[in-house]
Amino acid sequence: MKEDFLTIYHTHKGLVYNLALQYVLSIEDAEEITQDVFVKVYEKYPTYRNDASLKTWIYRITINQSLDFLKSKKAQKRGFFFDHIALDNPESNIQLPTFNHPGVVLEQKERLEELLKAIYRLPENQKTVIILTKIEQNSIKEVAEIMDLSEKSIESLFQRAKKNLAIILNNNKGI
Amino acid sequence: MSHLSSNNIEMELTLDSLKNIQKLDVPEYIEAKIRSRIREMDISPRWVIGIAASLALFIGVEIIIVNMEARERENNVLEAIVPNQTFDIYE
Repeated sequence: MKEDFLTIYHTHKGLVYNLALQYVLSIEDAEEITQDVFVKVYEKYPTYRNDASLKTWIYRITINQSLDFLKSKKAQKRGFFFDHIALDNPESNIQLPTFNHPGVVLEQKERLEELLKAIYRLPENQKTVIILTKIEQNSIKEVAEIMDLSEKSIESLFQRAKKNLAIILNNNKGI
Repeated sequence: MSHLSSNNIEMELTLDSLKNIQKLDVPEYIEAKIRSRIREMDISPRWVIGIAASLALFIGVEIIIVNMEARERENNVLEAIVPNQTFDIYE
């Protein structure tokens, strides 16, 4: 198990760390999530069934861990009631994280920072579709497998995400 | 309609810029932190089992001592009432 685990860690550490970073936009938080994900992988590996590939399974754990992390962070900052409103309404004034993403290159920093912060404000599923397709460069088919949804649902989530992003970005321009 | 589709194209182009985000290397110390957390996790159940077993043993011994003392006390009372005879109330 120990040897297996080390192989799994070295094969997937980049995926986990970078994926978590796209969700939380802060390297400190991404490091914490990476640790949590691999501790969970170590714990749950004996019960892992081969109905999804190992990569898909690790993707799912990372996504859930990142979303849980964001939820707990939001819950700490605001009341439970306001937290639920925010998740359903992309236009609501969600508190944005302190942006600390070294993967964003300097010449595009401002534009990408604005875009990533807009993605941060999307509802969970829409956010995941954008991150997996546009940042992680997965195909719609792969995203459907990771999210355990049909390809049609992914397409529809993607369209809604684009619409909501346009609203958020336009609102930001107006400020 | 053409306005809507041009907006859509603009958004697609904006989203395409996301592929320029660079992938980062994972800091070395993360592995050490994970190793240490896993080590703690592996050790902690043994501690819990050890403490639970010691507690059960202590309670067991305590019950036996209390029973023996109660038995002795009752024998003493009976011996005081009927002297020169040994009693065992559980016989």
